[in-house]
Amino acid sequence: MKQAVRNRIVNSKGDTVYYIISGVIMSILLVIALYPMIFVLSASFSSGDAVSSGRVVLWPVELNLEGYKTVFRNGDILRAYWNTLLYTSVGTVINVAMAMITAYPLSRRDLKGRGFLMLVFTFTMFFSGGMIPAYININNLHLMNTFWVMVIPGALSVYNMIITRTFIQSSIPYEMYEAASIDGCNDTRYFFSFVLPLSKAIIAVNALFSAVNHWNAYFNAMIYLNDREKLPLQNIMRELLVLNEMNLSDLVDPEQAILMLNSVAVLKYSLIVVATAPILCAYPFAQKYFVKGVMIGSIKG
Amino acid sequence: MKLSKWSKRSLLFILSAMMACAAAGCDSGTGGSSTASTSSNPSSSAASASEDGDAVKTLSIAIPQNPNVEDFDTNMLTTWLEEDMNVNLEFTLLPATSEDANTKVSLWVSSNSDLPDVLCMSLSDTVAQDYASKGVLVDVTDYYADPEISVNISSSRFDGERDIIMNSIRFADGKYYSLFSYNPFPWNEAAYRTWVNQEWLDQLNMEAPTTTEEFRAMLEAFKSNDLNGNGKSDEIPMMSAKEGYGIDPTTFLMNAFIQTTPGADYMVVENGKLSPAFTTDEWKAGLEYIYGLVQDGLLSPLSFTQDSTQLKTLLTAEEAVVGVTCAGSTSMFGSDPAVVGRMALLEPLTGPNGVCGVSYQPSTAGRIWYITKDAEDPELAFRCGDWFFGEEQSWTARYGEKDVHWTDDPEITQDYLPMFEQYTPVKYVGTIYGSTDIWGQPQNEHWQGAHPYSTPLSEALYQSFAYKDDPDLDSKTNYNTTHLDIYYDKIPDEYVTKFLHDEEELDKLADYADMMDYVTSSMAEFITGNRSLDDWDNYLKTLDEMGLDEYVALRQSGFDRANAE
Amino acid sequence: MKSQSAFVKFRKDYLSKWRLYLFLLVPIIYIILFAYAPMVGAQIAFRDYDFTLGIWGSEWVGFENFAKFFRYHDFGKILWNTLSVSLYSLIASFPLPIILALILHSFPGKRYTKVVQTVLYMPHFISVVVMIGMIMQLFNPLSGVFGLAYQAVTGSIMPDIFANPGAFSHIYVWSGIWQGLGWGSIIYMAALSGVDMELHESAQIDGASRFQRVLHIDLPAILPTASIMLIMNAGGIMNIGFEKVLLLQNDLNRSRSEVISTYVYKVGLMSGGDFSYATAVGLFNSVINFALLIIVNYVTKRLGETSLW
Repeated sequence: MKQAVRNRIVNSKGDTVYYIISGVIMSILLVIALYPMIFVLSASFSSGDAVSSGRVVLWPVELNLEGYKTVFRNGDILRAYWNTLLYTSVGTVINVAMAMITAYPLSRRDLKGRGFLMLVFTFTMFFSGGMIPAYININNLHLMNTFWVMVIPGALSVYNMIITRTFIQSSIPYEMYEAASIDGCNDTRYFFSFVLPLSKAIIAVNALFSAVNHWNAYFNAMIYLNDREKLPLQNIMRELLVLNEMNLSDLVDPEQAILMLNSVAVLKYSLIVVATAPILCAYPFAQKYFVKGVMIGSIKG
Repeated sequence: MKLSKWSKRSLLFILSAMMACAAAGCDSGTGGSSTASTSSNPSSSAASASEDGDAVKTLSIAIPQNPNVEDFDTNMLTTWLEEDMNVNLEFTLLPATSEDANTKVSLWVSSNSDLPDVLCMSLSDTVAQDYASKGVLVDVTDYYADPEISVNISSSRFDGERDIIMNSIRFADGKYYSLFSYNPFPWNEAAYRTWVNQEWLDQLNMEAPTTTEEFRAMLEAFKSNDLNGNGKSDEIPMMSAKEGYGIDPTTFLMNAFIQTTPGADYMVVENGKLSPAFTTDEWKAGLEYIYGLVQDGLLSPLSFTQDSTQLKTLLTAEEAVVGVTCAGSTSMFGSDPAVVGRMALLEPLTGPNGVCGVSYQPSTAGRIWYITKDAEDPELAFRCGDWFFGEEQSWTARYGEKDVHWTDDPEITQDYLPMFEQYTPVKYVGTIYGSTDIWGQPQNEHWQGAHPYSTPLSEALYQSFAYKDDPDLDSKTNYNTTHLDIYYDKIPDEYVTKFLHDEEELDKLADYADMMDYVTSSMAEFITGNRSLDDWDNYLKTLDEMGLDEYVALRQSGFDRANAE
Repeated sequence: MKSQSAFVKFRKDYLSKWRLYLFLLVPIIYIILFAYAPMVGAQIAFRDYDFTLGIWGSEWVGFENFAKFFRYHDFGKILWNTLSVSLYSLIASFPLPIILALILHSFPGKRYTKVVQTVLYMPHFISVVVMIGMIMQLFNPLSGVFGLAYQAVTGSIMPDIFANPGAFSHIYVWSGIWQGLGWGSIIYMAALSGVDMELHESAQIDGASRFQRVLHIDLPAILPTASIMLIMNAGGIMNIGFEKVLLLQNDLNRSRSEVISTYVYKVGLMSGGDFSYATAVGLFNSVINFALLIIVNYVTKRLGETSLW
């Protein structure tokens, strides 16, 4: 019965027009966004000379694996991949947990002092002591050059927390809490039995944002880590990129350095491919959780 | 001007080469190299003798990571140094980009952390000045003065060039806080070179232009003839790009009106006094001339907005479209011999008032290897830095292992050296085996030059241009020698070598951070017609309001300090 | 009696909610340790920081570091350039991810939607250097794809957009949208997934078209998220990074492309690592950002929308 109704509506004229317009917009955007990806991929497989003289437009020119060879010749790359994987997975778990336990109480309108607490958290998004006090602070906390310095200092992203709080507030009705609390459900149980299951989509977003963040992070590693064995992927990648932006006056004569630059012009493209391919694979997993809608009624019942 | 005199003399020496002092050059050359090698041996044995009793000392060095150095600990240069000086080197690897490395070191310093004995990196002038004045760096002036300690630096290798080296690394307080790296190369001193499509000139039966009038006529001929023969009038008479090595399109042309150098803030030096070139009537005349070229479609306005990649796209096109371009490096023409072969160096032009200058920035030494307050044995740290200045060490640093990557074996060098004889005494010791491979590839022979070392002018003039087993060696145009021929007799008598400011001046200079931007922006606007030259007086007025006089005065004191005895 | 009722109130308001406060214990310890403790260091903006003397020992100079910044003769211009590019960026790039999310969410072909979504999210990972290089190459009037197409169609050479100071903000903003559109829509996709499907079903039975349902069900559902995003974007108005601007800058568009961050970067190059100055500029930006956030938050609250507090 319902199915029949739906079919009738889907096939109505207005909907068809709407879908055609949507489809066209989506396709145009697809092409626009696909181009840079193809370009980067093609450039990474082209010769340095072709890249630095702008001859790569769409497809690889003078097929060449020099860029990838340079990347994988680096002895630190596998260990760096492993480190990044470790920092990303542990960091993401911590981030998601912190965002949820902060966002949940702050989403409750019966929490006294909520506005003040929000201000306290938001304030830290804007004001900080700057680099030196942060460095001294990390030193005092004995986190310097440890595994934890990669996951603890960024444990709570206030930005993600605010987004999470908004989600909980707007998609989990307060009435549900009232009903549950009448049934004797306390605040902790309510969090685990109702809030968490209904927040899958925002947990997925949190996980995605945090994972990408950890994956791309290099600055903390740069200033807080001293052992090469602990460096994550991005730092090793940046070292390779240095070949690309050699300080001309420092090392060799500029003429010679420029010849070198040509030979590594493809490098920045290969690096993007090598460094981002794994994290791109994370998206479909997260996507799964927010394409399908939830049935609030099913939980209510 | 002591410096300029020195440079003139050395250039004369080079250019008159064989004619004047072939024999003398030969003698002093071989003599020099043999003393260098003998003097480095006793020094190392002396050092090891004096320390034989003690345990091997450890020297900790912070050095930026380099992906092309496989392992600093097992590097050939490292073990060689450890053996010679009886030390154990301990490396702390800094991030590879100089910006990141500087951030990290500044955090160490600012948080009063323990520093390694040696910072083997370059610091900006301001930062180095700051560290020196706050006692972070060790004053090494006395070590330099003691030939027992600065064994190699005091050797005869540097006799002709010691003044320019010491002048360029001195601090504002007159003391020295670092060792140096000094690798002069005349090709880079007048880098604003201009190239013309010789095939087009030949087709037109034209001589290469020598005056601004002839130059303009040539561009007009390029524009009106279908020189690439494709039936379209797609010829671009002249084009360049907004950034790149020696690529700015205005410098070459402006030098026909007034001698000027971008790297010296376009300052003209006369009797030791600086004055800005960009407020003169000659400058205005130059702008008018270049504006005329843009107006008539002879100089492409894209030269002010595109980057070098896009310029290269057009320059390397199989079918030539660009007639004249500015580029410091022949790499702009790609690797296709047909494309590279069609471009020829153009002589500096003479303007309507008979001015014919070139922009000139002399090679200077760069500071590297700073010994820190936490160094247990600063003298040992200095000695280890000095060790790199032995001739064989320096050559290894630059080119890799002796007799593997380079050689001074006369049996081999005799095939390569004659082409240079006209220009330099045959003291020349090296022939490079593997072209630039040793620089672009991961290796474990040297530290990619990121440490103190030097191949002074007397040894190194043409070193990178003779490659073993290069079949095209004879047919290749040696731009280097052409460049010396046509650019070097036009360098100014007086020029800016560097500005050496004290902390107070550096602080004040920050208030004028946009001064040079305003000059180059206005220049581009006047030339492209985005702004009318009728506005010239307003331009002068704005400069005045921005504090040009104060700015020039600041630069003047930096210039004076750099040239002080 | 009175004190007892106060206690009852206290017990009702706070003690009975002890679990909620317990949830916040760890986050609050965290921000005290990692955000508020080092914040005392911000005072170096008012000092002439000298590491030999430490944060507390450095000379107090009051607003001198700020004055150094305001004294710049073109301060008004770079502030205006910063704000105008930022505002333009905010206005243009705020609604688009919302529209995209609504379209993607309502499109029936789920497999195609997934493909589009995945591809749109990728440009976020391309570095700025590579992206700007690509744009400059594409739009070169003589060698770029668009330049050649323009020439083929009109027979004349395309005007150089990089030479036009007025075009700078368009290039800056739209390249940002190009790169960030898909990424920005993720958050709205998540919000849309929280929409109760029953609402859709009953609306369908009432004969509402898909477009009507987008307007009356989907859009209201993501309005709270949208207003929070608006508030937070307003709080980022001064955050224009210097890297992308510097890459797009040239001698001809500098009058419009010099912004606060590029100027500060250039000063930094001349004066070395002056931490006090950098902190002062950062503080100035933060104050403006925070003030804007408070204003926009107040406005959305008055409009009855979701707000931060």
